[in-house]
Order: sequence, then C-alpha cells, then structure tokens
Amino acid sequence: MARLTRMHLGDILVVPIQEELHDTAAEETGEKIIREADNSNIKGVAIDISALDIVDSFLGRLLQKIAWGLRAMGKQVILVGIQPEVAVALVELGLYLEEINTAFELDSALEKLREMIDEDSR
Amino acid sequence: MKEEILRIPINKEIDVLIARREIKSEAERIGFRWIDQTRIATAVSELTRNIIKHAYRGEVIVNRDDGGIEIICRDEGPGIPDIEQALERGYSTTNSLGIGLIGAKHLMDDFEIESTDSGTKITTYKKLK
Amino acid sequence: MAKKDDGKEIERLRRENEEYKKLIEEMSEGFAFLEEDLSFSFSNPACDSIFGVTEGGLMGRNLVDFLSPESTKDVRKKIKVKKKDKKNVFETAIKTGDDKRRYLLIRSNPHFEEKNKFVGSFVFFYDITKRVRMEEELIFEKGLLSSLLNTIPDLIYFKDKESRFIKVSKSKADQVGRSIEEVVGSTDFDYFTEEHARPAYEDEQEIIKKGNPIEGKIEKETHPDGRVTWVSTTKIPRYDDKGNIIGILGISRDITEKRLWELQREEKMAAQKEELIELSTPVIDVWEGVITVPILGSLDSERASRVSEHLLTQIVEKRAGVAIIDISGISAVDSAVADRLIRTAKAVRLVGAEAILTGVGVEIAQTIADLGIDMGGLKTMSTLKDGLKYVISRKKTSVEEEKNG
Repeated sequence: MARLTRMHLGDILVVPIQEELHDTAAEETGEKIIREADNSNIKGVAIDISALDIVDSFLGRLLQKIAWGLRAMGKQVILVGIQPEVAVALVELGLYLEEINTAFELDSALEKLREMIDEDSR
Repeated sequence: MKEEILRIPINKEIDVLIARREIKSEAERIGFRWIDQTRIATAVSELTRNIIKHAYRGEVIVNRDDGGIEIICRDEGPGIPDIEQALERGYSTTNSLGIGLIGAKHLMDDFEIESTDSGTKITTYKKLK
Repeated sequence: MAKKDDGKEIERLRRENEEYKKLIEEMSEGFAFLEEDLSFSFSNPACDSIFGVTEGGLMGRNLVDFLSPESTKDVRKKIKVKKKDKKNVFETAIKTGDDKRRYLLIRSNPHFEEKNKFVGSFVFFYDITKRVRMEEELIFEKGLLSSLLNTIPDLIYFKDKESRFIKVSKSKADQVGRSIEEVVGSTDFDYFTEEHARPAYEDEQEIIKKGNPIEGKIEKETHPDGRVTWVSTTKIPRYDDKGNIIGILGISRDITEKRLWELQREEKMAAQKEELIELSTPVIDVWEGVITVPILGSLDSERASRVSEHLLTQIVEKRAGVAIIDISGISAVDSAVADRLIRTAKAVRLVGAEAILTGVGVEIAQTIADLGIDMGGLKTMSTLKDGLKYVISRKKTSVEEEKNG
C-alpha cells in the first residue's frame, strides 16, 4: 500500500500520483484522497497524473468517480498533466472526462483552480 | 513468419501492470510510434484486467511478424455469455467486462473473440505503420 | 648331299619370309626401315596410311619431309638412340601427305656397324592422335574450369552426398578465409553459425534425396565474427553417368550490397513518408500560446491519428492554450470525419488546451446539420481569421477583467 504523497498549498490540496497502481491500490488511493480533502480548509484539489504514461478505462473511470466525490463535497477539482498519449487512449476508450477541468502543468493548474474557487465563492 | 516473443501469466492484479509495461517496451523495440505503444499497452491493460476480474487466471501471448504485433489473451474462465451484447456500446455502461472489450477493440486494428464455458481467447493485432 | 637339304632349307626360309611379309603387310602398326639419312627404304601399308600416302608412296621419301622444322633435329637424334635396357620410344607430330596433323609414337631400333656408325633403323609408328587430342582437350577444359573458378566473383561449390565440399571457386574459398585445397572435405558448419549452416545443410540433403533444385533463394549468412552478408543461392543436383544423384552444385551470388541498398531505400522511403506526413500537417504558431493546424485533403483514421499525435505534442511543447484546427482545405466531411475531429478536440482538452474548429463554411455546416452530427460542444467558426479574432478578444477581456477586478 503506497503512501499517499500530498501537498497543502493554502486551501489547495495537491496529490501527485507517481507510480502505476493496480486496481485495488488505485481504489485505496482514491479513498485516501477523499478522506484527505474532507476538511473544511480545503477548497480545491489538483490531482497530478503527469507521471503516468498509461491510463486505462478503470483508472479513467476511477478519476471520474473521485472528481464527482470531491465535487459532491463542494470542492473544486482539476486534473493535471494528462500526457498526449494518455489523452489519445482515453478519448479512444470514450472517456472524455468532460466534467473535470484539466491543465497540463501544475502552475497553470493552480491558477485555474484558484479562479474556480474564487468563482465558486462569489 | 510469426514468432512468439512474450508469454506472461496473469494470476494477480499486479500482473496487469507487468504485462502492459513489458508489452509497451516490446512495442517500442519493434518500432511502433509512441501513440500506438500506448494504445497497445492500454488494450493489454483492459484485457488482462478482464482476466483477473472474471476468469481469475490466464495468460497473454505476444507474437510478432513483419506486419505488426499479435496479442492473445487466454483464460480458462466461465466465458462471456453473450459476446454480441457485451460489445454493444449501450450495454456496457454498467458492465466493466464490456467496456474493457470495446476499449480494446477500438485501440487495436484487429479483434477476434472466442468464448465458451471452458474459457475465452481474444486475439488482437496492431499493424506497424 | 647338300643340294636336297638346301632345297628344303630354302623352301622353309622362303615360306618363313612369306609369312613375315604377310605379318608385316597386315599389321596395323606402321613399320618401316629408315636409312642412315632417314629416308624410307621400306614401309608397310599401315605406315603408308599413317603418313597419308598411297601404297608404296613413302619409297624414296624422307621422314624429315613430314616433320616440322623445329622437331627435325630432335627426331634425328632420337631415332639413333640405342638404349640398353629400355626401349627407345618417343612421341612426335607429323604433317601427313594429305595435309593432316597427326601424333605418332615412334619406336626405333637403330642399327650400327663397327665404330658405332649409324646405318639405319627399324621403326614402328603408332598413331596416337586420338589420345593426344583427348588429352589436349582435357587440359584445355581443365584450364577453362580453373580459369572460371579462379576469377568468377560468384561463389561456386561442388559438394558430395554428405554436403562436404569437393571443389570450390577461389571466391568461395576467400569468403571462408581458406585456400581452395583446404576447403575440400569441410562443410558449411566449419565456417558459419548453426543458424545459417543448418538450414543450408537441410536444403541440400533435400535436393540430394528428391532431386528438386533450389533457384534464386535469398539467404542471410551470419559469420562467426558477426558479419552479416546476403546471397542469392541456386543449388542443383549432380548426377553420375548412371543417373544417380551424387551431390550438388551450388552457385551463390553476393547481394549484400544490393540488399543494404534496398534496406537503406526502405528506411529512406519510410523517413520520407514520415516527413511528408509531418509536412502535410504543419503546426503553426500564430500568436502567443495559440497554435493552428490546417487539415488538407482527406482525414482518414490514419491521418487523424497522425494529426492528433503531432498536435498534442506541439501543444505540450509550445505550452499552447489554444489549438485552432482549420478544415477549410478538407476534401469531405462525413460523420466519420466529424467523429475524428471531435475526438481530436477532446484529446486537446484533456491535455489542458482549448480546441476551436475553423473553416466550417456554409457547405460544411449544412452537411453537419443534415447528418445530424452532434459537435459535442466544440466551438466552430467559418474562418481562421474569425477564430483568431475570437481568441484575441477573449484574452483582451480577461486582461480587462483583471484590471477591473
């Protein structure tokens, strides 16, 4: 069971997924993210998958579920660092992840997330 | 001239990661473009996951010939009751098996499936362009 | 009294003489008596025929008349040689009376008077022309074969039923780094890796068993030092005069250079194809953070794949926030094409950029409407210019918002 790396940047939680996860480990990671974000101080979550070069339908749908879960908790979500080859594979699997905002790099992701949080709080 | 280059047993979850990683490397070695390497690896991930989830045990056999790569996923599980239905996009919304099959079908160039109650064999092929 | 005995004796001698004469007349070997100056004082019919003259035509003629000037001195000397234990036998060439060239074996029995004065010789002549001709031909052909085997660049080899080398060309001997003689008795296994030698051996054994030749087979040869060569090989069975297969004849032409050239050309063509594809989907920077890719011609699934690849890597490389896909140059739009465009746009979004479709003129818009294609929220504009204007104006707005906000 891999330790969950995470960073708190003010009211933003950044979770980098750095290694390949098989299904059970991935689900556990998902649960951990939700638990970690379940904190009134956290307003937004950036899930960084720039280290992953293979994302299949299971992980794709899991990310969707995590995003929905977080949104249900009132948090803003952004998916960071979907690699071009992963983007193509996801699209071919029919997983457009349209409800999730995306950014390629962490700095623009944080900017966007900040905008989303501000927008939300208006 | 077909030649077998890999044979990986699929018995536990982690074998899914091993199989897709190894096969992606092979695809690179053979000369597939990065986009096709990922497609192949993702298809392997889908099919081997199906083996773990529904048949518990099986194997992946990788053959290569001058035209590309052939990936065969075999198991001795209970089989797929209604293949046609499983491959229909509409039906697959709740069925992960179907999603895996459809996904693999789209990612690869050729896709053939034989399934009886004593096992399933899925033969896929990706052309080297 | 002696008279009667003498008569019987004379009769006997006369009869003997007749018999000898008959023997000499009828024998097939040429027989003659040559005087001290080598002129014929007697010759039998066989001798006349050997020398190409009519019967009795040698009388008064000289042996020297039939010899070449170069051999005259030699023959004169040899005729007179008396060997103690051995027979005096030698060969020479003559030009016959009817202008033919013949080879003769001469056996000479010279006679001498006191003080070793040569007075003449009983000579047997044997016509050995046929044998000499055959020998000459054999030597000539051997010379031709040697010439061929020494100079031909193709690899030629004769093998026996166990696939052992019997004779090889110099080129073949050089190929395996040995002399022609050293190669005799060895096999392919002595010079090549098992990977090459085994199938070659099996091919040969198959030919020896069934008699079916192999023609123009392209083989890859791996030498133990790692060198790789390519050859085009023809192997045919060899027969003895009874029609049994006794081995094979192999001819291999080195085509390494040709093959390398072919492989290079294939690589070059593949590279050119790549280049062409890259060229046909150029990605252009039009503004900071905005790139555009024009789609020209058809968009089949292969092209769409390439466009996606190229576009996505460029977006990442150039940190583009907007990708404008211009389809004003596209040849046709149907649901499959629209599907691919939409998918490309969705992949663009996943890597964090925004996709805008431009070049959607009236006709294409109509087609999309007619086919009932759902563009899935993808922004479409009729010209590239419109697309750019839109992007720029949006940037302006956000800058203003920042100012005001």
